Amino acid sequence: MAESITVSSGKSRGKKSGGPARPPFWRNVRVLRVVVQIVALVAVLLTLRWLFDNLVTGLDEQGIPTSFDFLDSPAGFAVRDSSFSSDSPVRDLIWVGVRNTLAVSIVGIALALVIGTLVGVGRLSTNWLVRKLATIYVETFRNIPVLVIIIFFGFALFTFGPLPAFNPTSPPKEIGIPGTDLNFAIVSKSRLGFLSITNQDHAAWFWAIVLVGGLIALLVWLWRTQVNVNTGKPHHRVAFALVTFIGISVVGFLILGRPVAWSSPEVSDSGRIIVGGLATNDGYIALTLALGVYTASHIAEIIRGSILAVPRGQGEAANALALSSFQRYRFVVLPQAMRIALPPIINQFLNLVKNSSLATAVAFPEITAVVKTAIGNGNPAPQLVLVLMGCYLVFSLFISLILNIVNRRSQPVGR
Amino acid sequence: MGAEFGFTVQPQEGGGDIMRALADADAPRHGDQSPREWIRSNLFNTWYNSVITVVFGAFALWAGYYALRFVFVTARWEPVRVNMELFMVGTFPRSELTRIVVQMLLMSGAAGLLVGWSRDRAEAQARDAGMDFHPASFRELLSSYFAIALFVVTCLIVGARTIGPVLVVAGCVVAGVTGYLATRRLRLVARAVLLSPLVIAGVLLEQVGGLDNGAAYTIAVCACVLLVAVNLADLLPLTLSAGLLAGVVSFQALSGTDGISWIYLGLALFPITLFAVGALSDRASSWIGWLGVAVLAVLLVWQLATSGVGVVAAALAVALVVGAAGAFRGEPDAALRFGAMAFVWFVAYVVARWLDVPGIDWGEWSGLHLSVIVAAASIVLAFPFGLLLALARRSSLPVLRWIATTYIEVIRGVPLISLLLMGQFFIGFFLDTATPLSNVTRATAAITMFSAAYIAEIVRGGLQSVDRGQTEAGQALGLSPGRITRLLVLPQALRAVIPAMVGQFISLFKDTSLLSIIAITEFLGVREIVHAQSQFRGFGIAETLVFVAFGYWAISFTMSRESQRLERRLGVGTR
Repeated sequence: MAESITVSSGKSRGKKSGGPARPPFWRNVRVLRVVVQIVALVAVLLTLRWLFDNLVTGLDEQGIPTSFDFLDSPAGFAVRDSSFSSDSPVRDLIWVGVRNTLAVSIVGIALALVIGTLVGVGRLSTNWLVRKLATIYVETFRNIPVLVIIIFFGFALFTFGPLPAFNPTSPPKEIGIPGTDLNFAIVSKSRLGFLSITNQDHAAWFWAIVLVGGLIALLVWLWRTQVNVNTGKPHHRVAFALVTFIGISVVGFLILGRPVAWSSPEVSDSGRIIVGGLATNDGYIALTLALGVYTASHIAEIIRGSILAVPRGQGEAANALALSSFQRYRFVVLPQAMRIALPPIINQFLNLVKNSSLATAVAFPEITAVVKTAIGNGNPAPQLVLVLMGCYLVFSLFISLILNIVNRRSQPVGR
Repeated sequence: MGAEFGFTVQPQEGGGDIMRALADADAPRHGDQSPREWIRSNLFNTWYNSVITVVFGAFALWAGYYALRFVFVTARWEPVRVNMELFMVGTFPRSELTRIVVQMLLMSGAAGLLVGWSRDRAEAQARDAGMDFHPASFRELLSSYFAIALFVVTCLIVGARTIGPVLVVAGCVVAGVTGYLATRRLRLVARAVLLSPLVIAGVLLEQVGGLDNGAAYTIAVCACVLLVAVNLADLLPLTLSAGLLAGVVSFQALSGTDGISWIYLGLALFPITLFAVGALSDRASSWIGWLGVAVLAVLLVWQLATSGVGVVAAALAVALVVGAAGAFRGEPDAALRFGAMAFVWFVAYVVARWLDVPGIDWGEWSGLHLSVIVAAASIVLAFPFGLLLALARRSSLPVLRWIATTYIEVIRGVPLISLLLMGQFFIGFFLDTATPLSNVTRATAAITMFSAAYIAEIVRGGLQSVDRGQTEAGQALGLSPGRITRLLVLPQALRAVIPAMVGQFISLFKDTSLLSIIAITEFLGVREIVHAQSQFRGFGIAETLVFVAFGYWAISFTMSRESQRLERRLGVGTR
């Protein structure tokens, strides 16, 4: 006879029948999870509140204001080479700092990418001399602090180099465009100027039309890619998109009646600065070069590592298919290498933006330098440092967003 | 076939002779090429390579010539030569320099002990795994350390005006070798000969000015006792503790024994304490847990009586509750461990108070000495926080994950200089301390916050690299989540991230140069002082900068080479 076994738990006797036995609440995992989280949250909030209260009390004792009103009061200091004077509100000067940071970062990133790719590929060259020189470059600049490199470029610009100085007695070199009055560029040791565009009437409409044109060109690009995928005909998407973009921009230009004009850089009357065009000062050049060179050494390592990380079998398969070495790089090795390399490279961009905060060493007024000067001029420090950190957080969140999008798009489908 | 781009066929294990023959056909045969052939195949193998070789070769010769000419002929090294002491120790009170000498000697001895310890440990692990043990060859070590050796030699040649610095460097080398040899099991006669200079050095230390003589003699005697114990006992945890203790004591030689130095002293003794506790709890019956509980109870009462309710009393109370619960269940481990740790800390506290050696305040340390110490201190302090943050970020509790992620992303999104500015202006207000914190303390606190976030990301990468099967196996064995993390996941994760941690230390050391922006005189900031001197105003700016760059380069390069060597030895990245 089959025995029937019944299981009865001592605890369920006397409770309502049915349902599993519950451990007591002080060792019930579900209860503990909630309790621990509540305790952690309360502890963190209490600590933050205690710190904040200390801060406010301390500031009040010292007579430092605790609000953000100072942003609208006159700054009391000027930022070099900008259109704002010492009477402008602090807010405007901080905005100048942000613009300068962006300018340094974008050009620095471009420079770093170009130099870094060359050096990275050079480290894998078959030429022993190129390999050794690239290795020396990387090992030198990776192991020296950025600040030292920035200071070096800061004073090296004035002492070394083939370019002319920039002062009233020794004028810089102007590169003109033959047949017109305009200068293409002005080059010197300490300042550079480039031809650029200024806005005139209805310029806002023009730029809106250009933006719309860009979006339409993007749509054309996607459409042509889709056509190629569906029918196999060559897409010529670059040509199509460019033609669309240029066409819309030209149409907008003509309709609005010359909304933008050339702005040529000229040496000013005093012979000390450049007016017009896109002008930079020595601090900008030093900082951009230094950041570009330093970040390039890291990018070179990343690119070398990513090319080496492509499985060897890929290259051998390309050889077996009789692809030329250029085709092998272009179609097999580099696409896979770029997929591996892109997240660390975007991380290096973020590092470059953060390293641009060291501009005080070369007296370039990017946002950290502006904030330091503002603090030195009596504006309240805590709020200013918070504003500074907020600006960098915005940059970094933006770049992280791009990184996440790139990561998602570049994963092989099906993984 | 593909050899020009470095693709070669690798012989598979047991692949047979055909694969081996193919591999041999492709592999470059280094010894076989005459110099002419080598030049042809490496520098001139295609037409564009030939052009590149000519162009770059000319550039390299030109640059090399100008660099050498700068270094040896045209540069004026007077600022560096005259101020070498300033570069090394900054504005440290010159009468107390003997403290730094003691620190360097003890650190070298500790480094020797720790090198011996790691070698013994690697040997033991290889033996357990049944593999051969290959110690590092001299050539390997030379290729790693030539940079720092070059830097030290350059500093001595350029800056040493008396025999003193040379003696100090020689003494450090001797101390390191002594520490290393103490871990070798030598014959009795050799040991006596080995340890006798220590006794002499102990007597000499008594003559050291600026250090309370009793403390100097005590330090020397303790160092001798430690080395003898290490040599006789042949216990790896003892060696580790001895090395850590020597390192900590060297630090206290500078900062004195007041304040929180007892925490570090106690921490240094943990390896041997926990080892002893483990051995004890294996052999004794479970009632010994009540001994630990009794110790905790006594200490708690004493703490409440002397300083009232505080962080220490709260920690003791928590340990008491946990230990008592464990002992009640018949598991003496927790109680015994906490009791031993609390007791060791108590002994360290008493010893520190009894020794009562006054110290030099942090704010007076400067120069290269400060850079190294700030980097090391912030990594050591940030490591536990980073570990906790990484575990919290991977926790299944959403609130903990959210808190950790916010902290990490905010700190990683802002540059270090903004955190340093925050440290300068805020931290004093935040903590509302009775005495204002010194410049250096605030900066170190900011750098520690910064490092904790980066260490958390590194450790998180390591935690992700540990196979999930490990966790599942631990669950199958019935281990609690805490035990799984502590015994299974963390050891593997931390071993995998050692190279990344060394990389983080290197970049932190380079980032200490930012302290010069907030007017702290570390290695880069000494230049301001040098060029404020009347004879060097505007003179030799390039030379001091090159010297500072050389110093940073030598130290970072050495560490990165060591990290690469460590990576190869640990087999990280290979399966």
